[in-house]
Amino acid sequence: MHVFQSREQLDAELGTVRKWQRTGQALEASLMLAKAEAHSIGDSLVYWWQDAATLAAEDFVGHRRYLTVISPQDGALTVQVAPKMMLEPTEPYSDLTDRERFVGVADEVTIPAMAICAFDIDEAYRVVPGQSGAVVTIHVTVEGYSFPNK
Amino acid sequence: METINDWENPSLTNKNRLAPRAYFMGYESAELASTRSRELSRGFVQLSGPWQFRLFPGPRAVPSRVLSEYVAEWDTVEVPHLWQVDGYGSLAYTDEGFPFPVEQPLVPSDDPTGIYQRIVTMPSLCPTSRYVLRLDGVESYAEIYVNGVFVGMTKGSRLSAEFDVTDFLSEGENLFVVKVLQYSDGTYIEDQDMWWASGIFRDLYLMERPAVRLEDFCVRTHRVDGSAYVTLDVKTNGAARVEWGVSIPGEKFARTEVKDGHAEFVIEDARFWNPEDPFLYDMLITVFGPEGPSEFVPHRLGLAEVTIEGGHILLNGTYFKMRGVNRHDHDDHAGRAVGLARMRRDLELMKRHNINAVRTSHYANDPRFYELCDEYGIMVLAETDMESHGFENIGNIAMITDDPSWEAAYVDRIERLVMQERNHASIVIWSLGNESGYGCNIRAMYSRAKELDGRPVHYEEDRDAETVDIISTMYSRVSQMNDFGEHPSPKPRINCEYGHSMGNGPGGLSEYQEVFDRWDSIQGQFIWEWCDHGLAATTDDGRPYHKYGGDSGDYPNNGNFCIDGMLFPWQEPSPGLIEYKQVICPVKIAYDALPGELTVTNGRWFTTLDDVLITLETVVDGIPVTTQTLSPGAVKPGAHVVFPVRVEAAHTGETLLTVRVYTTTARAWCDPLYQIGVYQFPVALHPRPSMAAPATPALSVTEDKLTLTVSGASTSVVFSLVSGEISSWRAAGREVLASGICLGFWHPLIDNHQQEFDALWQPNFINVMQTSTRSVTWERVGAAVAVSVEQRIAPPVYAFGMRCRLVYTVFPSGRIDLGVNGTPYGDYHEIIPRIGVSFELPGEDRAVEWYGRGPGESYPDSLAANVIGRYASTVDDMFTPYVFPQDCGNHEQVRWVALRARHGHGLLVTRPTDAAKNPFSFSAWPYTCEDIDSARHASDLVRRDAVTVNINDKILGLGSNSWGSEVLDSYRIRFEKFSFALSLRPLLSADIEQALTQIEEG
Repeated sequence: MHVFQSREQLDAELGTVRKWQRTGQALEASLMLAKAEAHSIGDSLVYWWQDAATLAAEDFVGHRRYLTVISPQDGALTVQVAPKMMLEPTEPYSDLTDRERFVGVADEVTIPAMAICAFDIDEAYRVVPGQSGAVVTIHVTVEGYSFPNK
Repeated sequence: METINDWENPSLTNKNRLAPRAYFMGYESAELASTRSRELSRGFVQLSGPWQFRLFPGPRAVPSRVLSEYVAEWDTVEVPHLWQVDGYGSLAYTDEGFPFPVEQPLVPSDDPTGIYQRIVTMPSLCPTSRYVLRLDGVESYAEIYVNGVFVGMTKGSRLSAEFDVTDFLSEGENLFVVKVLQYSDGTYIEDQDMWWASGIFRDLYLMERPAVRLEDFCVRTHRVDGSAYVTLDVKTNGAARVEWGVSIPGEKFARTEVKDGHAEFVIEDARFWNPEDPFLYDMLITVFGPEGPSEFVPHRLGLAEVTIEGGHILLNGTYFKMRGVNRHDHDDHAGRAVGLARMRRDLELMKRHNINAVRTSHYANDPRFYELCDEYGIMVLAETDMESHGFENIGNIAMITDDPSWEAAYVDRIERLVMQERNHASIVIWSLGNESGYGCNIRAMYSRAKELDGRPVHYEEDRDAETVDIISTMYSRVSQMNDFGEHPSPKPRINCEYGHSMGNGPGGLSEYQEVFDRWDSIQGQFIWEWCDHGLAATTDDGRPYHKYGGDSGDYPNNGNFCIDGMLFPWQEPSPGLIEYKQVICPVKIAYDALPGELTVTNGRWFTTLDDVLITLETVVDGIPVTTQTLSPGAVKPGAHVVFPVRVEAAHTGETLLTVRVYTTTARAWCDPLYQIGVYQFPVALHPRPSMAAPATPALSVTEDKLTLTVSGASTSVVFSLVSGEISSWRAAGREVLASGICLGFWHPLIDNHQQEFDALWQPNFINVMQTSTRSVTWERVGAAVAVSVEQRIAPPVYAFGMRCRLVYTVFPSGRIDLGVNGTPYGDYHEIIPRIGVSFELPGEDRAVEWYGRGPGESYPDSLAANVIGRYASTVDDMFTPYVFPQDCGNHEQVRWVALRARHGHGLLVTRPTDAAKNPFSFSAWPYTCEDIDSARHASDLVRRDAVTVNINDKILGLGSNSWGSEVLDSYRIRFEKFSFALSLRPLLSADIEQALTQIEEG
C-alpha cells in the first residue's frame, strides 16, 4: 500500500499519469456529491463517499482490475492490509464485482485524515469496524500502458 | 469589412425554412388516408430519382447561371445519394478529427459544392393551395432555387427541412436547383464517427397543402389504471372545425370534436403500446372548411406514456430495461443514403435478435424510421444531430458547446427533432447529442426539449446528470457498472455505448448482462454499434472487398475503426450479434439435475409467455436421443414457473440437456416457431471404458543422422532430428499432415486486442517468437515409442521466453499422443493470445466434424449462443469473413475434431483421455496465420490448398478493447507455466468410431 499524506504529495508523485490526475479530480469532486452515489471520470475510475461505519467488514477484500484508493475526510481511519497470498480465500474472485474476499491476520495501519491510501493489486484490506466519518473510495483501473478512452 | 458567409455563421440556422412540425401527410379522402401511402397523399411529387449533377471545387466556383439554367450535359445521378460514394470528390473517414483546420466557424474555402438540377413538371396548380418542398436529409448546407429564384437555405444535415415554394412555381416545367456545400458551420456539430460524405442523401418531395389544412398536431397519452386519457392539440389554417377519430384497426372510428385546438379522449380498457406488443390504434384527423372536409390526416397511435418515478423510467407505469444497440444509417452500397427496405430489415434483424431498443446515434433518422419503430416495437433513444467531438483534439471538447454564440444552432437541432417526432409511441427518451462536452448550450437544449415534450432527456456528457434526467456513461466496465449499481444515483442510469463490436467480438457480454440485470437503477444498455460502415468495392481484377478509412487516399484517417458493427456491411449478423441475442434472451432457463427441476423465468417486461414453446433435448455424446416439449403458459413478467424434468442419463458417455426456446407466434419479423434462445445443462458424464483391440505388430525404429523413423503396421512417422518436428506421417498410404506440428502463443491479431498488441505484444515481439530446438531424443515406453523434443520459444531482442518439452508417443495402433509443457523464464508474465499447436493438413481434408460448441464460432468469453453438440462444416465455410481479416472460427469446449477428405480419411484430434472434462478449442482455416495477419481486406486473402489447423489448450478472451473493456480477468491467459496433452488419430476411412474408441494400447 502507498499512503500519500496529502493531495499535493499525490500530485507530485503521480500527477503526470492521467488516471492519477483523475484520482485527484475525484477527490475534489466527491464530497460535493450525495452520499453513496457512485460517479465516474472517463473510464479510469469510479468514486463515491460513505461513512466509515458502512465500509467496515469482517473479511478482507481484494481486487484484480481496479486499485482501491481510500481517503478519510473527517479523521484518521484504521485499516488492516496484507498480501492476498498471506490470507485465506473465503469468496472466489468475480468478474462482475472485481472482488475476492479473504480472512486472516494482517498489519494494522492508520491513515491520517485527508491522506490518500492506494492499495496494491496483490493486497487485500479491511476497514476496522467502529469508526466514523466520511471516507472517499475510488476504484482506479490497473491499466497503465494504454488508455485512450477519454 | 469581411463578408460573413451564411455557411460560416452558426447564429443563422436557415433562411425561409418553415417552422418545424409533426411529420404527416394529408389526403383528399378518408379512404386514401387509410392507405398511409405517401405517394397517394395530396399533391405528392416524388423528387427522388435522377438529377443533373455537377461538383464544383467550392461555392465561389459555382457560376450563378447554373442556379437558373438547366444544363443537360451534366452527369445524371440517382438521388438520394452521397456524391463521394458515387465517385465525385473524395471519401474520407475519421472517428472524431475534423478533416480540415479547426477555426470555427470557418470551413475550407475549397468547400466541395454540388449543384443538383431537375425539371419538375406541375400539370396544374391549385391557386388556393400551398406547395411545400421537403428535404429529409442534405449534408451539410443547402440552398434551394426554383426557376432561378432563391427560396431558402437550411443546415442540420440529418434533420428535415421544409420550404414553401408556392410563389416560385408555375404550371408546366419548373427548374429546381439545390446547391449543397459539404462543409458549413454545422459541420462543427456534425462530427459523428462516420464517413465524411455529402449530398442529398434522403428523399425530397413536394406536397400540396390545401388552404384549409392541418398545420401541426401533438397527441399525448396519460395512463390511469387500464384507461388511456389521450389529448390532441392541433394547429390549423382556415379550419371551420376539426374532427378526431380513434379506432382499433379495421373497426369504426370513435370520433370527437376538436375545440379551440384541443380535444380529449378516454379509451377504456386500452391496449397500451409496448415493445413486446406494439399495438397501434388508427387515428384520423379530419379538417373541415366551409365547404366540408378538406383534409384527412392519418396517424398510427401508440398509447404510451413515459415517466420517471422513484428513480425509475416507466413506460405506462411499468418498469423496463432497454436491451439496445446504437445504429448509424449505413448501406454498404450507398453509405448514409439508406432506403426504406434496409431500415425495415435492420429493425427485423433487431427483433429477431431480442433487441428492444435503438439509440439513433448520433442524429435524427428518416421520419419513416420512427414509424417503423412504432410498428415493430423498438424503443427509441431519439438522439439529435449534434456532436462536436473533434474539439477534443484541440484540448477543449466543449469549446462551442459552452459558447453562447452557438446556442441557436444547438437548440435548433433538438427543437426540430422533438417537434417532428414527438407523436411516436416508440420514442421513450430524447437525446441531445453525443460527445460534445458539457456547457450552456446543453442546458438550453434541455430546456427547449422539456418545453416541447415531457419525456426524459439524455446526454452522456452531462456526466453527473446535473441537468438531464438520466445519468449515462459509455464504455464503463463490468465491475464499474456494478459499482454504479451498488451505489445508485436518484436518477435512472443507462450505459449508452459498450461492447465495441470491431471485428471479432465483443467478448464479455454475459458478465455485462448479469450486472445490468442485477440492478434496477440500470435501465438500459446500447451496444456500439449496429453495422459495419464498410463500403462495397472491387479490386481491379474483380475481387470484392469493403472499404474503410484510408482506402480512398484519405489522410488522416482512422482506418477500420468504422468496421465496428454487429452486422456485416452486407446486413448479415456477425457472431457478435448472435451472441448478444442469446445473452439478452428474455426467457431465462435454469435446470437443476439433482431434483430434476427446470425453471422458466419470464424476463419480458410487459407480456406473458403464452406464445412460448420450449423443447428439451437429451443429448448423448452430441447426438439428440429424446425430445419433449413444454409450454410455460401465462407466466407474468418477472415471474417464473418450475417444471419437474427428469433426464435419463446414458450409462456411458456424456449426457447434456439442451433447451430451446421458441415463440409460436408469427410476426412481421419472424415466422412461427422462431427460436429466441438456447440453453444447455450438464446431466451426467460416464466416460466410455477403454477396450482391448486386436494386437498389432510392434513398432520398429530406424535412425539416421537427420531423421528418426517409427514404423508400424499401417503407420510410418518420420521425425526430423534437427527440428524435432514430424516431417512425414503416413497412414494407409496417405500423408496425414502437410507440415510439422508447432507449439505457439500467437494467433492473427484481432481488433479487440489491438491495444494489447501496441502496448505489450509488439514491443515484446510476442508475434515473432522464434523456436529453437535444443534436443531430440527417443525411447521405447512399453509398446510405444516416445520422442522428446526440447525447445525454447522466445522473442528476439529480449531475455525471456518459454522452455518447452514436446513428447510424441507413437502407439502401435498408429495414434500419436502429444504431451506438451512449458516453463517460462525471464521477466514477461503478461497476457498472450493463446497456448496451442498449429499444423497443416493436406488440402483434401476440408470436411470438418466436431463435438464441442457450435455451429458458430466461440471464444471463452463469447460462447453463450453456441451449445455443445456434434456439428459438421467445411474449412472454407468456417472462416468468418470479417471485413478486416483477423483470428476467427475458433470453437470452444471441443471433445474431438476430425478433418477429413471426401471419403473419410484424415485426422482426428482429441485428448488422450477425458476430453469432456478437459476440452480444448480449435480453428481450421484455408489460410495461414501469416496470411491473415498481413491481410487488410478480404480480397488480400488467397485460398491455399493446405488447411491450417490450430488446436488451442487455452485462448485469450476477446474483450472489447478496440474501444472499451479489456479482457475480463477470468478469461486472461498469461505467459506462465503450462502443460497439456492431445491425441492425434489418423482416420483411415469414413468410420470415425475407430478413432473415438478408447483403445488399450499395448
